[in-house]
Order: sequence, then structure tokens, then C-alpha cells
Amino acid sequence: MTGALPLVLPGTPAQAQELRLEADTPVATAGFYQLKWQAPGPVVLEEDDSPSFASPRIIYRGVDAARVMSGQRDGERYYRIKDEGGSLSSNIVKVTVQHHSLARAFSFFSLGATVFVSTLLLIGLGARTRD
Amino acid sequence: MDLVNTAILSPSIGWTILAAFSVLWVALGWYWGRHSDELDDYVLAGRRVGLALGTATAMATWVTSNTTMAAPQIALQMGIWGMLGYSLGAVGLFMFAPLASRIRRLMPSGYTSGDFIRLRYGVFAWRVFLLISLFYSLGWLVSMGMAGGILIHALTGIPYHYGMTVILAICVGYTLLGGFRAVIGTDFIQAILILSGVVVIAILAITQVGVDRIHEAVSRERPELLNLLMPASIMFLFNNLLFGVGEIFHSNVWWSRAFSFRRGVGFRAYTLAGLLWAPIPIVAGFIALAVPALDLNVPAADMVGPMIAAEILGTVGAVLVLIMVFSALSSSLDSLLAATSILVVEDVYRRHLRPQASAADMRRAAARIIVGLGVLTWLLCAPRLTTLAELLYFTGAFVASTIWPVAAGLFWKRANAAGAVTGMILGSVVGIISYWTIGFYVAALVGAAVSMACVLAASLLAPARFEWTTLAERHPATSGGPA
Repeated sequence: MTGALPLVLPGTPAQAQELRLEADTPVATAGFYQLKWQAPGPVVLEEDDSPSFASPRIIYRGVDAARVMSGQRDGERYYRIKDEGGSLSSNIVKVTVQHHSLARAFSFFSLGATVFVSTLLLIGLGARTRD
Repeated sequence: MDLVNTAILSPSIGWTILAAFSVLWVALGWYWGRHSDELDDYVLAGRRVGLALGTATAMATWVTSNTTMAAPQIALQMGIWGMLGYSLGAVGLFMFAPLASRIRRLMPSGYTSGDFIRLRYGVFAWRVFLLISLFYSLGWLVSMGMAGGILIHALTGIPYHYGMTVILAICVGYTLLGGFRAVIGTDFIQAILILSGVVVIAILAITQVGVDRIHEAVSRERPELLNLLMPASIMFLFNNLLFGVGEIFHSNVWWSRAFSFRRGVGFRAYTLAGLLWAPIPIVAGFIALAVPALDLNVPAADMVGPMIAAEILGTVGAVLVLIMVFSALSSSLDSLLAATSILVVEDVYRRHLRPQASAADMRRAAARIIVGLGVLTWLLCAPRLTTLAELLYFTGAFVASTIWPVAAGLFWKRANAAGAVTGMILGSVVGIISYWTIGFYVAALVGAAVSMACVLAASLLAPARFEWTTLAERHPATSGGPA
């Protein structure tokens, strides 16, 4: 393992077999998603705002095989895993966080409130009616 | 695939705890069930359950593995509103209180929720309802079997399939031995263990980690969890409330309790149970927000509860969590096994296959069905297809579609069969479409809304004139319980 840059570009068959990263959804409408990977040993999980990984953030280092991301704001995020030595790199995964609109959220809220109050009225009035 | 390679307890400790509690539950099951020879004793504890046991069993049954594991999952995914929204599941218990009272009065010899739907709306509505109810029961059983496997794997590293198998085998075993008396008796003990465990863990989470530290870390790493205008969590609020209402209104788990309580106990038992239950998911959910502060990696969202507790409390805490969640699982699995077996025995076995079955035949059939349900659950748990919350909320569209058919059926003479049937079918279909196209956090809400519209429209256009005395059917296989 030389670690030379051309050998760690995504898509090279040898690396793709050793380090493989995937996300459970490409678009997260509630700000949460799961990243899962296959690796022979400990990994470093990196996140960046661009696929070039010019300034990556390390968000996990360890031996587990997945990580849940949640509470994320709108935007595009790119992920990759590397082995502990940093010589091997996986494929790059893109996840877009795109929350529902507030208009949609409050529409559902109002609908739910209507059903709830109507059910309360049904039970309340029905319980008071003499059979 | 096993995702955790850093479990806090050793497999040998895990197996020891499981073995000790398994012996305890099975022994209690045998002890309490040794006089349950009559059908009413085996399936409804003789219809004489008092307030203390009644409250404990209602609360303990509603504190499922989902409360202790899915509630933290929802908090991790949906944040503050997710945590508070989960506690709205208590509303279902409060709202069922007047229903429990009415059910006991209108159906003194009733056995199942299926009996009610059959008498109220006829055979076709009854079959649609049975499909929904059995589907939901199976989904709930699978969620709990999965939770057992996930919990044990998260805390001890024992492979998922082993833990899941042990949990299911033990619960089937003591439910089989003791019937409904064993279910209610063990519920009381399990309720005490659950409440104690949750209080201890919450206090330690606040004192050891600190609210300020939790807040700072979440704001930095997962900011939307603190956003009170996070759209998905706003949509989740009434979805979870209506899901809980639907679960309780239709499920034979709760109807069987209503039939088993002494007269006058149901209303108070359900109200008290709701009050006792409501804080538990808030406490359980809160600890999930400590994930960023502890720099803990959570591989799957439904593992966050036990992982956080173990991280905060160390080995002792992990043992405490294992005992507490094992109790929660057991208290719900046994109730669900018992209630589902009653439903299948009464509504499928006797009503469809053997109308002349005696009480002894039905008691034997109940036992076989419990075993069969355990095996089927195991087969469905084995592939671990999804997370706990997503599985649970998949059933939401179906159960929420039964809210108005059940409630209107009990309180509104005009509610007719056409409205009930179209409500259940259309509510389920549209709810499931919304599950896939929008998210799991709207399926129950949509199902309930569509169902309500169908019941109202049909019943206003062609009102029925139902006679409530029709519901007081005497059961031919027994001498009938006290009126």
C-alpha cells in the first residue's frame, strides 16, 4: 500500500472492495439519515461540503460499522471513510438535507388537531347522551 | 449485520442476567397460573382485576420496549418535539378511560374487540377489522422481538439473533404457563422495575452530563434537534397522538383489560395509568440528547437508549438498563401474546372454524396459538428489515383508521357499517401511501383523518338506528362473567 493519490481515487476496484460507504437515503427530508460502511478495520469518517474534500471534518473514528446523523440543517453533504493510516479511501457518498416546508408542516398539524378535537367531541357528547 | 463492536458488558454477564430473570418470570408464570383452568380465568383473569393491579398492568403494558427504545430514537431523530410528542401517547390511555367504562357496561360477557365490531357493524366489517388488528399485533410483536435482540446486542455484543430468540422463548413460555393472571401479576413487578430504572437513569444523566453541556453540544452538532419549528417534528406531534389512540382503541390488548377489570375500575385505572406513563418517554427521550455531549457513536437510531445509559452509568448502569428494558419487553410481549391469542381463538377459531368448540377446546387452542405466534414472530424478526420506530409507524395508518369506527360505534347510534368499512380500508390505503411518499411521521394522522371523513359522510347520509342491547351477547362456551 503506497498511499499514492491515484491509487485512492474512488472507483478503483481494489479500494472499492475494501472500503465501501453507503447512505440509507440520498435526500433527507427530516434531517436524519444513516451512514453504513464495510471495512476490514478501524475507520475515519469524514464530512465535507464539497466532493473535493478540500477541508474535511472528521466526525467519527473507531471500529463501529455505521453512524446515525440527525438534526442536520438544509444543504448538501459529502462523506467518505478512510482507513486509520489514511492511505485507503472509500467511494464518496452525497446526502442532501432538504426539510419539508413549514406550510406543509402546519397543514398536517391543523389536520391532526381537527381529528383529535372531533374525536373528543364525539366521546364527550356521546357519553352524556342517554341511551 | 452486527453494527456494534464496543459493547460495555461482556456476553457472560448478559447471559447471566437473562437467565436469572427468565427463571423468575417463568416461575411466577407457573405460580400465578396454576389455578387458571376455566377459560375466563385463563384469558380474562376471572374478570375481577382491581384498581392497583389494573393501573399497574395498563401502565406496564403501555411502557413497551418502544417507550424505552423508540422514544430515545425519536428524540435523536426529531429533537425536542419528538420527545414531547412521544409522551402524547398517554392521550390514548386517557381517551380510552370512558370507552373502558362503556365497554364493560354494554358488553358484560364480551371477550374481544372483534366481538364488538361483529355485533356493531356485521361480518364484513369484522373481517376487515380482524385483518388490521392481527397485522398490527404482529407488527408490535416483531418490534418487541427486534428490540430484545437490539438491546442485548447494544449492551453485551451478543449477536442480535441470539438475544431476540431468548426474549421470545421466555415470554412465550411464561405466558403459556400462566395465562392472563401471570401477565397481570408480572406486569405489576415489571412496572415497579421500569419506573425505578427510568428515574435513576434520568437523575444520573442530568447530574453527570449536565443540561448546559448537553445543550451546547446539540446546538453545535445537531442544531435542528432544538428547533421548535423543525417541520418533520411538527408533523409528528398529532401523528403520534393519533397513532397511540388508534393502537389503544382497536387493540384487544386494551379491550381484554377492560373486560377483565371489576366494574367501576376501568375508568380510574386507565386515567391513572396515563398519568404515570406520560413522563416516561420524556425522560427516556431526554437522555438521547446527550449523544453529542458524550461524543458517542450511534450506529442505528433504535440503539441510542441503551447505549447512552451504558455510557453514562457504566457497567452498573448497563445492567440496570438491561433489567429495565427486559422488564418492559416482557410486560408488553406477554400482554400482546395473551390478547392476540384470545382474538384468534374467539374470532377466527371459534367463529370461523369451530362454532361448537367448548371452553376446554378454546383454552387448548389459546395455548397452541401463543406458541404459533412466537414462532411466526421469530421468523419475521430474523431478517431485521427496518428500525423500531419505522416498523411501528408503518402499522400506524392501519390502526389509526379504526379510531372513528370504534369510537363512533360505541357512542353514536347513527354510525353505520358502510362508513366503518370504507373508513378502515380507505384510511389504511391512503395512510400507507403517505408513509412512503412523505414519511413515517404522517401515516397515522392521514389514516385517521380519511377514516373520520368516511364515517361521518356515510353515517350522515344514511344513518343507522343501532340498539345498544345488541352488544350484550352471552358467550355460549362459558357460563358468562358477572354482569
